[in-house]
Amino acid sequence: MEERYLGRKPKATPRRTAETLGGRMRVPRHVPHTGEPQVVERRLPKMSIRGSLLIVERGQEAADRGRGMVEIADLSAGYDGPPVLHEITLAIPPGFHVILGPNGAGKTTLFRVVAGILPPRAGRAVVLGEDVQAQPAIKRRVAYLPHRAGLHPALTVSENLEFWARVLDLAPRDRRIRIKGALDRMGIRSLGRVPAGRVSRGQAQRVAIARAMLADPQVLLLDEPTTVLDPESARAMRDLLKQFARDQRIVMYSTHNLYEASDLAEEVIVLAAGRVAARGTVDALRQQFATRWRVALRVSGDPRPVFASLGYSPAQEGSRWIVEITRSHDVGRIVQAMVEAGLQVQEVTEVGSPLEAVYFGARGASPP
Amino acid sequence: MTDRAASFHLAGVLIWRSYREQRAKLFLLPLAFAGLIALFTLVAFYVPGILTGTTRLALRRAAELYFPTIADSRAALALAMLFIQGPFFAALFASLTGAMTAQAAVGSEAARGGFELLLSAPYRPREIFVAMLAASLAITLTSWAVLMLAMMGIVALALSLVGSRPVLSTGFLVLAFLLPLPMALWANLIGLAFALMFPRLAQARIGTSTSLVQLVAILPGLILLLLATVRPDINLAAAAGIAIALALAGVAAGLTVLRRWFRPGALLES
Repeated sequence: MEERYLGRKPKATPRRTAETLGGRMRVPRHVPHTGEPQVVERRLPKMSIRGSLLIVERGQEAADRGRGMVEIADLSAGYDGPPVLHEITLAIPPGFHVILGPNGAGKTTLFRVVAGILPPRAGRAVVLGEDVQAQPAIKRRVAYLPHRAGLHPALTVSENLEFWARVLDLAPRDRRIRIKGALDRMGIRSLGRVPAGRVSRGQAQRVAIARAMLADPQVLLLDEPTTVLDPESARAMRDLLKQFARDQRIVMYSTHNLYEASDLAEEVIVLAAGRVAARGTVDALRQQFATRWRVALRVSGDPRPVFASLGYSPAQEGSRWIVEITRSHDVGRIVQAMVEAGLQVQEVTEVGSPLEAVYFGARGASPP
Repeated sequence: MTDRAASFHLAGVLIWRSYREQRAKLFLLPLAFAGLIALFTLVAFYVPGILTGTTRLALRRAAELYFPTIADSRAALALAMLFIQGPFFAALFASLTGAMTAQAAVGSEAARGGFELLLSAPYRPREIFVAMLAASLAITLTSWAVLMLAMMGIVALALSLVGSRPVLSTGFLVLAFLLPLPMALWANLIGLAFALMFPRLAQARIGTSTSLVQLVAILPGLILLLLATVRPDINLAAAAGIAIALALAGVAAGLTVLRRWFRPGALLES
């Protein structure tokens, strides 16, 4: 359903009423995170009543489904030289989508096309039902966080947010509320009056994330956002983004950190040389690409005879035994053999990121 | 919002940002330059000997042509500096600040990745370009207005001290005061055009400090100043008028070219 922001909710509007206007409906709601009351206009699908049945027209239904998605069709894009992206087709529904790929794979270029920054050479990018090049107004509902924070060093942190709120043409009262809410959410309220040129890189990145969240976007594009964050800030930001993605929004997130990717991803898209090399949930991709896993076991007693009987040569790291397996159900076979031998298995963990094998396997490369 | 409304809205936001970034500095530079012209005038009055031979000759000739009724030759020399050379100095200054303002706006955006962000905002690339140009022009215009107000103050003070009216046509005075504006617009457009269309070329420098773009941008102002120095006997009002017409034509042509060939991809790092 298309949603159009109409302004702050008038105080007199009852919370639970909805006024139907032709094919649109005005609905009061609260802005997520800030709690700010506002009124949005929702487009209703074309419907008819037949007897006691409510019929929703199929074409309209499909169109409405597309309104909540990012759709990329036969997309080629690049800069002055040869194309960076080659005929990519993707339909990205609401949820957390992690984009993986080596440097130069086309992650940033993909984000730039979806953000409407870079016009495609062929194909098109449709964001929430609108062609992002033909209808730049849709970019109001898309937030992009590039590699660099892009703050203006002579402006204070608050002024940087205010500048962006003005660029997005937010109403003055709305601007103040949103800026305050964004600063609070990122834990940087104390930095409000500090010139952006004086904050650390990590703090600048938090300001940039606050700026990205300012207009309550439906689509959030984050290009390696945690690279300069300390572990606590990175975790806080990941929690915030997970919460954000739960609210039927689209988060596209590129990272080189495979642990982070496996923690966040509802879906992983692996790009290689400008093409989609693999796509799916972490588990599905592991089934498809992972051929070897390293497993660590903590066992009471000496497990070496059991490992030897199963044909494994484990390495000992402190109190853990590391063994490389080729099939996931081998873990169960090892544990069963240990128990049958009278040993107590205290802990079984996977060594390395679950996505490591996928990352290399999907690109046809070998892990180092 | 229509294209134009979107561009003007964004231009307003960019002006707001420039003001917040620079505050009083926006006005200090033209005031300082007006002070410099006042200093040159005082030098022409008190110590004309330290001026270059060519300038001294030009001022003497201008004094004979435009201030023949002033008995005090030093006062005539100072008025020639203020009225004849001053506007051309101001035009040169306006050109330089116009080019620098445009280049600084684009350069600082490029340096911090601001273009990528601006292009991700709900505007068309053409609207962003027009907004940047409009903001840059508005700042240059403010700078010109401050400079002209200060210059008028200096002129009024000088005339009251000398107690005479110069033999200058109103047309020349109007053109002389207007001249810096089209020069600044031209320089502004050239600065912006080069910085947006050829970001790498815009970094190219001649010698140690002057960039190639700045040199191209100030060239009309520089030629006019040289003309006023070498040939003070020619019709300077006509020269200023022609320069204004050429600069405005150049601005119109430049805008047409830019609207057609501006590609946002050139501003992005691949």
